[in-house]
Amino acid sequence: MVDVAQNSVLQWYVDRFKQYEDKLNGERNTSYHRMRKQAIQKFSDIGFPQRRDEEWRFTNIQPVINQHFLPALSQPVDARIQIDKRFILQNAIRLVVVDGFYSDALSDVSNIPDGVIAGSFARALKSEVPQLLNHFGKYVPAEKNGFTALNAAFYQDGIFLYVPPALKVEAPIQVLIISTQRDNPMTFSPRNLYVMGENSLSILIEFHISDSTDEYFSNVVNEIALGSEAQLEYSRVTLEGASGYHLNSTSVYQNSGSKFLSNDVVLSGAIVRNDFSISLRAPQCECQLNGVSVGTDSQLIDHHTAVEHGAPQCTSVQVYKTILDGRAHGVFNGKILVRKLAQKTDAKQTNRTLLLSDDAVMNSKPQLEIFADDVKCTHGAAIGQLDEEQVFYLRSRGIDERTAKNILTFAFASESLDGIHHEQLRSMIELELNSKLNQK
Amino acid sequence: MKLLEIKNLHVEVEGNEILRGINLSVDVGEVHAIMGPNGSGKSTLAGVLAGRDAYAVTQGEIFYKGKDLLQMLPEERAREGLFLAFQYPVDIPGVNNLYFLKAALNAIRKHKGLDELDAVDFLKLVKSKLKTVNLDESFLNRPVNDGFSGGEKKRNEIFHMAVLEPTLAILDETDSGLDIDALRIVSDGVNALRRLDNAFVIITHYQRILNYIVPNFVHVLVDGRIVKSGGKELALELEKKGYDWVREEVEENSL
Repeated sequence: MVDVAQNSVLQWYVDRFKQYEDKLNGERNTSYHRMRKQAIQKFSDIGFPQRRDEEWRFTNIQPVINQHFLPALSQPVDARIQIDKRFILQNAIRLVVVDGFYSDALSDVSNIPDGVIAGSFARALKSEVPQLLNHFGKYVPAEKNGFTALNAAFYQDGIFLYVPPALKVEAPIQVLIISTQRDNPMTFSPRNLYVMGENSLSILIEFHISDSTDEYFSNVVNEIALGSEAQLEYSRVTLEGASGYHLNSTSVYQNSGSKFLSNDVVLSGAIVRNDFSISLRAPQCECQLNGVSVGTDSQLIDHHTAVEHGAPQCTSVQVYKTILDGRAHGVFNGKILVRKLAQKTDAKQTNRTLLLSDDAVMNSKPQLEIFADDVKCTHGAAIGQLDEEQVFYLRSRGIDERTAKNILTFAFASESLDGIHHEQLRSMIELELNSKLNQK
Repeated sequence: MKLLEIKNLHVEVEGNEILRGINLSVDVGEVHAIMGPNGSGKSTLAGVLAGRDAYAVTQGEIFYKGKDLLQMLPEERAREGLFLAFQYPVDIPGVNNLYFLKAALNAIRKHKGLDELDAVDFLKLVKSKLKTVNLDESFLNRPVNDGFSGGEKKRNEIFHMAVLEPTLAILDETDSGLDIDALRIVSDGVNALRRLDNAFVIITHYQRILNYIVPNFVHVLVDGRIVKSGGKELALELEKKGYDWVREEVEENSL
């Protein structure tokens, strides 16, 4: 059921879709365009999530819903976009998406190993690359919610990455998703698919950045598949513009014995909502999800994780930390689902929040659904302030109060950055984190 | 002008008067021992000097280097050379001991108008100081006090003191919980820092540490007042006769 109030905005997107469709020629009869059509239909049926939906209870997404964003259906006119040098990782394979479109000019694929496919999602889709078709749309179904439906209807491009079996990719693979300053409030729909072959090993680093000072809406869908014994270290840094909205649905499908490590760092953006689902579908998978978020002013940062233990002997660890100042609002909802056959599951979840002001708000909710009887599941949530005794200890050694508090706040976050093994990335994040703490 | 001058200090904690008229003068080149039974106000005195804000000074004043100490923030006191070795040093997970100490030393140096030490010179300095407290170099890269044993925490306090070279160091029961070897290491560390231009206030229950750090003055604190002062012999007498002896003497005098 869709609210009357939502009708006009739903109609806006449906109309934009019709306009888009009218301009298409041969593409109209492709199977993927049929999927787009189904998606816009689903979108118009289900609408945007409402506060009464359990999954959106704490998250006020009205600013995203109320605005009539124009879906970006063409590349930005100005092709001379520069990537801020701070964010360029040395010796990395670089894959760049600008306003939802893959950019050959900004990407650097000169040293991709043999057998690796890395580049434009749209191109791979059009040439019907089997490794794409086998996975596309399987892990984040369009009908998951209004946002994923909207992405499935309007996505134009993104990144497709395929790492063949048994390959160890030495160079880190950096994906940069850039939202630029445009004349109208725009919505971008990057669509990324990362397929890691059996027994492969890769480091994938995804950045979401923007130079826009205006409202925009980045509506991201990521699908990640890990073959048996594959290992992926996935770090994500969200540094959206101060008026930018970022909604992200990422789903990971793990095959037997695979290992997935993620580091999810959120530093800026007016609203950031990350839905992160991990599906452990075969025995002996491991996943570790680390999260560090820093919210100031009236930022809203929401992490919804869902780990599904669907096979025996898998382990999952979640450690999410949030620092909130000003009138910032944080949400953590961590679901652990242990299916009946998933015996010997070992699942841990921790959510710790540091509130630096009286007006900051945190909602933390563990959600455990356990149907197996031989499992270890623990969860813990703690919301607190800086320890006065620690502050006094630092001050009594000559460090001023503000610096003392920043040191302790940084320390609270830095523990969760230990999972980032890429040195340049880690020091870059530490720099961004420190400068954000010092701006307060 | 004395280095530290405490005049008629009254302090309340949560409405209870803990210190009830302390008078104490400490000059450079001196070591003062403050002894007293549990609950006599020893740690409150240390906390007030370092600037803990849980304490309310209701009467009296404290001058440090001729300045009103109670008007100074804890970090200002530290930068002016005041140092408190904590009775219970707090664990600070995630903050590297070396990083912390460098930030502290450079804050103090900056205040004194000195250049900040660079990483190389700083490392040279701390390595030489580590030896004085017999701590392993691995302590530098561990989080402050996190996972340290009780003895290691106390030695880490003395190590910090050695690096920061305070003018007035207050040791709040640094000796409690130390075995005889650790006690000797801590004492040697303090003795190595004794100079004509600095001073120490050693707060303790026991006479034991005063075998190693010989004080110029011993004060007995009972029920928030210094009831007896004397030379180093007083500590030995206390050890022999116990605090009740002083209490009885005080009661007799007040009758």
